[in-house]
Amino acid sequence: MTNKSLWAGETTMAGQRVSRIAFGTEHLNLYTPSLGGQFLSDAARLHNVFFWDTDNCYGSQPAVAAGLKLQPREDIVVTSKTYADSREDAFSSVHKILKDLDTPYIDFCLLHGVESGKLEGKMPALSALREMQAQGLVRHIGLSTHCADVAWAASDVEGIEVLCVTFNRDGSRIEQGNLDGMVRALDKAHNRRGLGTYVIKTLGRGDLVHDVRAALNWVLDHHACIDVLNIGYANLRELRQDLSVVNDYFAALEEDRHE
Amino acid sequence: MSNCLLIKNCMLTTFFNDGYNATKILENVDILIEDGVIRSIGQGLRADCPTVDGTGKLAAPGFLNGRSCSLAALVSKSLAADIKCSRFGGTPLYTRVNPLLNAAQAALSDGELEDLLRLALYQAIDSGTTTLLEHCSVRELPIFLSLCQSAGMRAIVSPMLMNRQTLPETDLWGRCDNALEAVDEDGLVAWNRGFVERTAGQLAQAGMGLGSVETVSESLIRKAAQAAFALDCTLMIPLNETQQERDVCQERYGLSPAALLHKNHALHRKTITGGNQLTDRADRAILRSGASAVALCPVESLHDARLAPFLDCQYDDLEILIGSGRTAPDMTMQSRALTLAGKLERGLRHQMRAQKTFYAVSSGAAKAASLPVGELDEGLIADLILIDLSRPHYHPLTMPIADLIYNTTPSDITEVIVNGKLLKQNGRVLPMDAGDVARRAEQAAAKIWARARETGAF
Repeated sequence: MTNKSLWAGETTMAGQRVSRIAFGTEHLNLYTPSLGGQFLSDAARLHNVFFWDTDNCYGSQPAVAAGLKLQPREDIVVTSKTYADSREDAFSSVHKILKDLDTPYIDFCLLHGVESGKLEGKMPALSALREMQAQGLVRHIGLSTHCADVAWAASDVEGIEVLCVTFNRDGSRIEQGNLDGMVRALDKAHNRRGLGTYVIKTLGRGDLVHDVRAALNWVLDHHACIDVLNIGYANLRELRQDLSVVNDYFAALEEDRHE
Repeated sequence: MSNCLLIKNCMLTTFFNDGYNATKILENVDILIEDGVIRSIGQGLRADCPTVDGTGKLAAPGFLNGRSCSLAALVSKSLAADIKCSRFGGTPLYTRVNPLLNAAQAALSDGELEDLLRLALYQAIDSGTTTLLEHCSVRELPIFLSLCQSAGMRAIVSPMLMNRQTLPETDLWGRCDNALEAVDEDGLVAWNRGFVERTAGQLAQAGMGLGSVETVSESLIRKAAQAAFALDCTLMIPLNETQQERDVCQERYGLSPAALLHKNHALHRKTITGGNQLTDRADRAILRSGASAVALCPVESLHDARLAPFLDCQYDDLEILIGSGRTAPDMTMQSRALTLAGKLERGLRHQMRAQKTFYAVSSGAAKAASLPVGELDEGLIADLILIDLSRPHYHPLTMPIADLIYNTTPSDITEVIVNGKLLKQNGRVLPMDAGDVARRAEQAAAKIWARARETGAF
């Protein structure tokens, strides 16, 4: 069933080859892990969506673990996240992730959902992540946030290679700051600091599903400062819908370039 | 190992974090329980103790029934289900339920009441309930507590303290006897307090409780609320179950029932208001300000041709419990009814999902009742059920939580474990014999029917 219009493009993010769409796995927690794992494997095999995003609070790690068993490990890129502040919590969190995913390493580990005024408090956890990066347990370190001020400050922090932020047309779910602030933060991170960037809540966690094409096109209009769109899927049908929008967008862009 | 139980090779599902999205499903895991607590969850666990083969079974948190009125359910569930009561406010409460409850109180000895309540407890265990919040009459409280204690059921049993000797009834013309009577309020509250203090920390404990607002005085509300606050215990109060209750409250005090409770300081974080089928936006704002929880009874509401306001309460950020009220204490049926009725509440099928219901009968209910149960993880209390997924109606199996809510009936629940102790095993309820329970309950019920015929309740 491989079909060019439904084959995800690729890019590099923080030096790591990734698919342009990441499979947000949160909604796979409702399926038996073996079926959820097959969905993920199919996303990689049929649609080249080999970048999978999870977290140890989503409940989807068993499905991701099952998916990792169906594909060569080195062909898949996995993000997971930690809420840890302290070094101890960061170590135990990452070891739990590795155990739950049954994998020797994760490609990206993000300091998760960092709130306004809490960035400084994450430094002990960041130092632990860097230690684990040196040990090969974590390949890249990032930070995710819903807050524009944190997003702005994060790209000045040594060791942060990837910024993951809430980003959608209506500014839905953005806290502390607004959409403009998020655009400036992404631009600074991606174009001035050279960080990898990926965006979440592109459909406002369901608020914009009535207008998927326009909502995704709006995000894609900022592709100069965004590497990857991370979108949550409950099934492959939803993924194919978004993939067709994303591929149409880049195909049109390519056409414009030639004209 | 003493007080130990090992469940081998099951599938497990549970909430594990805040919010109704955070579920996880694990396959082929073992659960080791020791002294009532889950010691470990993993693969290849070994222990020298009784073992349950969990192959092909789903382990899930047991159901928390947030409001059961056991005697009312037993004496009236079929008799009240379909009767026409448009002349009496659209509820059978004053024409069928309360008259039969009053007949039961008059006709039965304590032993006969116990025979009936044992049947309710049997039904609760059989259908996977591991925590029961019972709201009953003053006379039933010690009986029900003792039954739960001896069966090993986790329970909070609260009485309906009232300024009356009997429950209000309506005459043939729809006139209701709402009069308050002189009672020893201090004595009643002290009696209730005594039970709370004596049972604190036990598996089955007493809470404070009141009758609905048309049966109580303001001073009794205040006294019971003060005692509950001082004891830091649950306070159960029926709320907005009938239009009659709202009308009497308006006439007597010029207030809605929620406003009356608020005025008398009865709404606090351990207050659980029961019923709520007529609870509106203004009531929800009042309940929210007191951080009080709502117990909704979906099947009871459906019988009254109404929808329990689950989504309204959820969107207003209220803590929600689901209860059986005066219908059968089968939480599999209540869960299914809540989910399907919830789709009608806004006319949107996706706004009410199995996952929300699962949260409302497990983790969310436990948080609302301030009880340390409702989730399965290492270090947590071992209150769980095992469901036999090998049965054909579960297949093909893709989404276990949806199957748990939509397709499960009591006979699918093969094991019920409360505080690490098996109350149901291989489909058989262990603390009591089914045939004996049914026979003794029928004998007691026959006396109620006889009394009801004499008094004109039938």
